[in-house]
Amino acid sequence: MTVSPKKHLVVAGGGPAGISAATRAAQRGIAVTVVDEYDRLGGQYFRGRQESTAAGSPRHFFRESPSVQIIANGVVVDTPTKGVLSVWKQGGSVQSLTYDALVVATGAYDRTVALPGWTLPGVLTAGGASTLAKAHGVTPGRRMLVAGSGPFLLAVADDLSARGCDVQVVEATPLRTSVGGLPTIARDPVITRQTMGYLLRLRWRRVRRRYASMVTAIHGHDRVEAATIHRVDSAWRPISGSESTIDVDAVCLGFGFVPQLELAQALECTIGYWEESSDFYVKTDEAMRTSQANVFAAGEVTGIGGVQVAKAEGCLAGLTAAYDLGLIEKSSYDAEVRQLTRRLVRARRLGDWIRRAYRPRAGLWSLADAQTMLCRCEDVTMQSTEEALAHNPATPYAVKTATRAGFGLCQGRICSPYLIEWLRARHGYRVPEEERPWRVRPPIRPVPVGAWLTDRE
Amino acid sequence: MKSRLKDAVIIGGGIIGAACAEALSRAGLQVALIERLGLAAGASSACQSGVGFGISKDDYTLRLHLAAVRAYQEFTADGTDVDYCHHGTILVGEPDEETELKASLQRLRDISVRCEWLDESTLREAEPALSPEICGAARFEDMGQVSPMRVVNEMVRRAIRKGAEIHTNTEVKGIEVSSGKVTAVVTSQGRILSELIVVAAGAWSRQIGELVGLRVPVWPLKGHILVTEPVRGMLRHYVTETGYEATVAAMQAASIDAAGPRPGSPQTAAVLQNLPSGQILIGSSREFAGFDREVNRERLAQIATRAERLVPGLRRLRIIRTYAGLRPWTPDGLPLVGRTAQVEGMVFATGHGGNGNTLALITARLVAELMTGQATTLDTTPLSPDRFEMNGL
Repeated sequence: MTVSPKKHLVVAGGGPAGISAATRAAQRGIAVTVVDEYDRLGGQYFRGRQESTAAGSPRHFFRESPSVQIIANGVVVDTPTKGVLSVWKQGGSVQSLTYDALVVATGAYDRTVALPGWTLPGVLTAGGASTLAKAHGVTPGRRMLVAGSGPFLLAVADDLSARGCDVQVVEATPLRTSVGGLPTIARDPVITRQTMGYLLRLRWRRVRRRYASMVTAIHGHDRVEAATIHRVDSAWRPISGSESTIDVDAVCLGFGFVPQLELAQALECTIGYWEESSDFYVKTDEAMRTSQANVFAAGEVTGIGGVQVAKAEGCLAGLTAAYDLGLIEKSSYDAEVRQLTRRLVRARRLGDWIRRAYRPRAGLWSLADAQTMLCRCEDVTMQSTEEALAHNPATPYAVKTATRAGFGLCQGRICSPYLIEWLRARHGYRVPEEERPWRVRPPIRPVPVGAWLTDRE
Repeated sequence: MKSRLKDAVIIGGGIIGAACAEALSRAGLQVALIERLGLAAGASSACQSGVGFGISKDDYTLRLHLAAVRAYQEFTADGTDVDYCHHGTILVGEPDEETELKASLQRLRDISVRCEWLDESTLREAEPALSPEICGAARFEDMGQVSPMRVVNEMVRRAIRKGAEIHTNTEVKGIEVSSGKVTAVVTSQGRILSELIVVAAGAWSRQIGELVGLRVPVWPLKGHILVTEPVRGMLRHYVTETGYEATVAAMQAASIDAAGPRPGSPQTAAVLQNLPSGQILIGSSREFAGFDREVNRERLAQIATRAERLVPGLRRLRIIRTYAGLRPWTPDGLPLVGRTAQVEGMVFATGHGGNGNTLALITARLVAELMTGQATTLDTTPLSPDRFEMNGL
């Protein structure tokens, strides 16, 4: 028997999906490298929970898969040719990383929504607030609102109230929607226990929860001083006369997440769009293969679905990568896939319900007034955006060109998803079937000029 | 769009087309502007945007560019904000070029161009970010930069106020000609009757010419740009090197056959532009690559290396974006401005190469003067499209 060199799988993103993929693939004798932007693996989900030893946690992973190579603080900045990634190790140079198979498990960003006052200091995303609290033990204020839509608000309110903050939850979706989901939630014992825990602790700490309500404006001079809350109808349109203004010093906004698609787009994977829930996602087959050969996707990039979906998809992606590279017999693969698929179907039932139940509604795209910033990097207001649309087509690209929205440091990561939905809701824009509304060019992430030169000089 | 009658139809919604729409509307013409994509979707949003002139140019080209710079000064004199700033350009030469450079400055000063030689200490003070290895450079007071996208939007706004119609996402499908005269433009949105058609389609002008059987001698010249993270005030001037003009000259030397200019070796030179919003645009490269707009990584690294030689502080700045744009290249390096005798009613305002931003306003003025039968600001004979053999398709 000839000994061929080990096949190499690269996993981009070390959250629950990436860890699961790496574990499964490593079990099948593939050399695995995980690239993650942070100093510790685990992604947003395990941030501040590094002590966890549950299956799929970073600790469990290190114990089970000691041979996996980790590139922490590593940023994939380019996809120069098929089978090669350019990875910038922060503080160092850009290196080429070759792969036989690649799992894109890059996770998601917080969905940002432009509403009056959203750029004031003291306003942050729910995900940002959670990271601050969990990873750094810092809270953004003393009296705060956790506002938006979805079960993640409960987790953030739990984190913040546990640290002694005075927290109120403002959920745009009515209580009956959450209640209607109880049978679905009850099928998943882990999530049920987690949700019950949040609710009991929030009640114990007297955290007020408002439903069918939205923060419609945030006020303050140099930082957040108050926020206006409206009751909203089923389309999230504020009901006039229902408003109240309360004093707060921080507002955490969480209107769900948007998949982080830059790497998948740079690899030219086919990207899909769900109109109903305003989500772009990487299209895959049932075994997590993308449209590109030997490139797989797992977790939030394939559509927001939560941690259980991410883990199951990660396992499936890692396993299929091993199978496609010829390291697993078909019978053994099929048996394992059947089991994983059952698990995934179960997890998706809850994930799909959450995505639908808490999806953004029309009223969300009408909160901004003329002075509200669309793009905070380039100081572009909604008014100048409207003015530009007077003689430009209502497309994200035309708005960017006319106003410079999305030209700043974040390159539209913050404002693009909002701009697209706002154009859809207010100007009849239709997301094109084939092409995507924005382009990705190298570098996928900012990389210093110096690091770039070193590799090529 | 129903069939309608216009005095002029402008094809192209970049900086040249927008400026022409404004100038012709102001001259009292009923104008429609047709743009295949969105405003400024071509080279006008994929470029650097200095407003200036080359020092080694012939007299006519220099006069054209000086008139162009004056046009920007007049345009912004009332406070019109298109991010036009003219805190000058610094031109860095190789050490052995100093004598030659100083002689060029003297020649320019003789025709009242405001420029000076900065020795080591003055240069250090004027532009601290430059490499300490550079011990002198030329400064040109009246050169500056502009935001082409803002110029386009400002021009379009003004044109609309004068009654112009802007049709974006509208493709030109055909041009109707009757007894040697243009009569109408057929677009994806309908037909517009007009006896005057202004081709301002930049690198895509050749395809428009083909619709009336003309071979327009304009080909796409690809250029790459890198964009850094915002860093306000790192550079006080637009900074470039003499190598830039050398790369332009090298491209002009390309041999041309029926398929267009032969792709010689790609050229790179450092051109640095600090935007008002902080980003530094790092250019530049020049190569013939057809209509391909994908970025070439080798070229990006070459540009970065070249730029870092001038401004070592760039090393620590992060690149947030890169892009490539297509400039409309002509065999003699001058644009095509004016009518052609080949087809009555066909007017060209294209082929500006890497100078479209600088020349936009003066081009529009010349076009308006020619169309309304006025004396032109400048002799336009050297710009006449008929200096090239265009018929015979």
